[in-house]
Amino acid sequence: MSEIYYVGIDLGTSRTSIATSTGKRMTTITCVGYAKDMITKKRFGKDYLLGQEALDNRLGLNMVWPLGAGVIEDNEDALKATRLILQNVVAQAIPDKKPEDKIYAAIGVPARASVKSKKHILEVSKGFIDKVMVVSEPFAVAYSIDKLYETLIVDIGAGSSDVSLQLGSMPTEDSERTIDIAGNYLDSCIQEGILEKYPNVQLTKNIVKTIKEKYGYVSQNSDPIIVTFTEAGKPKDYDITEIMREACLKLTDPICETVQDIIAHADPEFQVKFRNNIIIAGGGSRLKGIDRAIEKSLEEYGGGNAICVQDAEFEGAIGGLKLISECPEEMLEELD
Amino acid sequence: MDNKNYNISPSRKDSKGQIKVISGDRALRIRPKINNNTDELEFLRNRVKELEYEVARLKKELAERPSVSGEVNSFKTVTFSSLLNEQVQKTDSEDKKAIFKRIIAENKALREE
Repeated sequence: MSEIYYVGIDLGTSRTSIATSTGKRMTTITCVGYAKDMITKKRFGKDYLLGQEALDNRLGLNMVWPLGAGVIEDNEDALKATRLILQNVVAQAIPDKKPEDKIYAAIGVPARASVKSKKHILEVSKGFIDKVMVVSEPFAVAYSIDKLYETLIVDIGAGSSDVSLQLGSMPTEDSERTIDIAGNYLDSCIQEGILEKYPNVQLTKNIVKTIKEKYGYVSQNSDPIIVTFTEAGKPKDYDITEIMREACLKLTDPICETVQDIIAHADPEFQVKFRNNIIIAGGGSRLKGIDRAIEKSLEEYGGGNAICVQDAEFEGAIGGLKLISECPEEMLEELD
Repeated sequence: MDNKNYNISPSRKDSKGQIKVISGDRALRIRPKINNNTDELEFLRNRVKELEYEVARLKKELAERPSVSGEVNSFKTVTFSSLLNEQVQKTDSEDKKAIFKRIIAENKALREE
């Protein structure tokens, strides 16, 4: 007898997370590395590597990061790579799937993703996902934590940040904003800041990302951030406390302005509720003090209350899983 | 029940000398007055046992009455909060149905465009 597996997928620029109806949760880095030549191909016994494995062996690989600004890039390589990533993550999450079993998936996209980018998701999932529901990522987060009413979701990813008012129905164009100032932008700000002060240190995107994830903060105070970089191959400790804060503020300031703007344009009778019910999700919610920074930015509007989701990595995927598994069967039948 | 081991005021006994059943807010209010000098937990355990026995006895009695026979087991306690929960769940499921309708419509449009 065939079985239906439900999955929620948060297809992100940096990471892709999946939650399944079997209780499995996993996450992978959204990248594919194709073997540069026969030597690499022979070493790994295949044409490509995925996720962390690809990153770890990237010297012999041509790396493809198929998502930019939260959506699949509009080219053949990106579509092919996204398909490989999705296929792999689904296969790993549901290892017991038999050929006759079906997979129903909800896949999150940025709030204001274009029709074309949503269609790309349908295209790349053909053949291994039987029914696909494309959903707005901040809405999936709201659904996951049952905050569909008078809530403001701030979802800070790697490629884009979404600010979305939850009005008790599906969000509309007026109730959502997507900006491309997000984690990747913060990485470039940190890198610029470090190189400006210490021009000879050797940095890669991966090093910058790692220190951001470990030390990123926007609060007033922080312990000194001392990291080890190499300069012409020689390791040395560098103090980047102030550089980190300044870079992080470059990310949070535009997000706070977007929050201010969307609340200022909301129904005046509900503005207080939105201000006091702000949920911060996505990888950006891990920046220390981001909740306080958003609250502080709302002081002249009457103050606010912001909290970060408990599970930044999986909240979107869990919301997707909840959506697809709670959707009535007769409605899902319409998605072919 | 023999209450000689417990410090129960005579006003807590009924006309037959049995301890009165005190429940709800009133029980909470007078709680500190119960068994100041004895084991309160033991006292409460005994009261639970007594009440369970009383419930069983009443059920049996009701079941033996022809007019209510067959309804006893399906008896359901309806409280304000259970009614409220039912209402909330109903509204919730209606809201969700509307949300799913909208998501499916958008996804269908995506396939047709």
